[in-house]
Amino acid sequence: MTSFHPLLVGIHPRSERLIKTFRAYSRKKIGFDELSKVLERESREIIELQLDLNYRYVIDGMLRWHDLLRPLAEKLDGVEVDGLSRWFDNNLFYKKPVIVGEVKRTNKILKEYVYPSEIPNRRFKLVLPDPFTFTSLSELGKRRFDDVLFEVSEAMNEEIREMEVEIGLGQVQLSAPSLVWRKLDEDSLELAKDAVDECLKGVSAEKMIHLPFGDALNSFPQILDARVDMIGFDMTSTKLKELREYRIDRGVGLGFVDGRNSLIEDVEFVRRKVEDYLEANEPETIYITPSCDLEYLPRSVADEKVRLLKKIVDELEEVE
Amino acid sequence: MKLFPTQEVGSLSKAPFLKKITRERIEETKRWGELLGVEGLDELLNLLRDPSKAYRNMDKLYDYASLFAIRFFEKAGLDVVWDGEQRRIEMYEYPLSYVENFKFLGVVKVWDNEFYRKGAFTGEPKLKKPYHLDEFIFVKEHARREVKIPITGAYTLADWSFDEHYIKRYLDLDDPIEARRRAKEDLVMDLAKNILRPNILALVEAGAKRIQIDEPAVTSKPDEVPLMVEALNESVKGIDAKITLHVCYSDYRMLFPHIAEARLDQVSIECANRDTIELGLDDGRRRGYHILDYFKEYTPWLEVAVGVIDVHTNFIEPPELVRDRLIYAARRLGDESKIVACNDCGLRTRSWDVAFEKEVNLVKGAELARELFK
Repeated sequence: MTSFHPLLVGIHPRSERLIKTFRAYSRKKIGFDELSKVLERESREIIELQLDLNYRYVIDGMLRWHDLLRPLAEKLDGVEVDGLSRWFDNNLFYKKPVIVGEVKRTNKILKEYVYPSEIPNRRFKLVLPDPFTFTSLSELGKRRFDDVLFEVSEAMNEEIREMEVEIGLGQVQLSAPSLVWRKLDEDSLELAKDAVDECLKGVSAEKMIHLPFGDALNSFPQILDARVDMIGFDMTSTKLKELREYRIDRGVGLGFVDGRNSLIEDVEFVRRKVEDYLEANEPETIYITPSCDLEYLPRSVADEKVRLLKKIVDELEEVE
Repeated sequence: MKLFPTQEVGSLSKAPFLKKITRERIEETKRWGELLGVEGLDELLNLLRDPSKAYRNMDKLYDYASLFAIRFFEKAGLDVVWDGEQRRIEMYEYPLSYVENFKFLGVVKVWDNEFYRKGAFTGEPKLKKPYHLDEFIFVKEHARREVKIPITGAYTLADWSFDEHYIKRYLDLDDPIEARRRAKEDLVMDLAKNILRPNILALVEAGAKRIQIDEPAVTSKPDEVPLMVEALNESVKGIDAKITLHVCYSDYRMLFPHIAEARLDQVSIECANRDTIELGLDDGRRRGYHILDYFKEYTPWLEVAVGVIDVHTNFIEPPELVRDRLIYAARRLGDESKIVACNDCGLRTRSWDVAFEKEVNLVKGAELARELFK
């Protein structure tokens, strides 16, 4: 018997009010305390939206994250933040991390970026880039790729474990677009998998890897051996027929809801797709997710998709 | 024909009186108006002295802004001018406000805390009315030099929008990537036929001889460059005008070999931003212009309007630097008659003072280069 849950997988869009507040802050018209108050309030709204819809794990919207790599790029020793680069094939840009020395964690990284205060114990979902994606998207200078990769993995592991102690995580997700965006060679995929394992070693929260912006099969079979509990797929970039062929011995996240288009998917349409998957596989848990972060959508559309995920789950439960 | 003709790319920051009218801005207006020899300056200054009356006459202010910008480029000495897009807010929202079956949905992030208002196509796009005609007619009537009008291309309008219509045609396909590809193709080609083409026809009928199609999105999805080319060809099919494609801040290698199939006369690209500011003609100092090899190999018939002025710094390129960049580009292309001296992109992030000095040196540098080829 499969259980279904709605689940978000990354950064949520800022409201227009929050955008204005950030602008006021960058123009020094308000101080950090005021910005922080608005962030707290807006995070709470996103948290409540998910709690009201009975999401098992809840994100805080990641509203302070300018991009997925930024907290690590800003806070890790040996890393600096450079100019803008395109975020995969999106009309969205991130600031490139530049590796300038040995990468080490000497300070807390995420404490000032997360707003978990209203989330019940062990239901907070933490999202980070997987170490391979972070390293691939960085400027390495003269450093060797695998040296940096495992320094980043180790630093992330320290951070995640400390977050577990401090705020009690329910789920940790590593977002890994670089593993599916293009087909990597076998050695690189092995390396990526080892880095995931290193990064999540000793973590007791549920462990998930998410593969947005590409065909999941680009990362197979290596990534299926990663020591994670859940694997999430971008089903707007993966053929269902091909995915069905793989026996995946753990839970899956199915992202049929497009995080990059405003069309609100038909509930029946998604239900049929999920059932199609179930004919070939029967995982214990299926998360119904968007294909990627919802930050590519205006806020009102993103919130609508948060509700849509729950409607799809309700429909699936009814049929089961 | 004149070697190394000079032209601008599009935008210039707004004329001082289009911002909130203050005493300083009136002074600024007077200073520029006198320097540029703008006709009717006294009437404008009188109008500005009563801001509430001025705001009630925004059309008049826009006309003056357009005139100031035309004279700005003419005074600097450029051969081909435009009005610095004084009437436009930006290149996406403005055109789409003239399109039926499109709705704006809200803002989405571009980077950090920078956002743009994005919308969705909800049906086949239809043009309400040609949206650049009035501004073109005004510029044409007032300009004393040749005029080139910029217009956002079909591919970029589609790529920066959501699609709630075409994708529904292909939801039954098992391959979601193929479904998206086909839907995008349909949308882009409908935009070319229904929106770009009638706009361009109207402009040409009104006397436009040079049209610049802006496609900043084109290299974000390399697989879709052929689609941009197909849409461009549809947009300008049978049209008798000089067609320029402007692309910037991208890996231009992705354009090749596909743009060889495009009905184009000229490609305008940013180069100065990736060059050094040292004088010289060696490959290291002129690293911003190596891309000319691709033009030489694949499209030797095309003019290349190379950016020799960086629009993102206040550094004023000396004429000698402009000269070296042009000579190097000409050598690399192997044909000096195909090189046009240009800015990297629109100048709108620079103050008028900086922009003016840059443009004056663009013209002086082109003259220096020309002398060497005499």
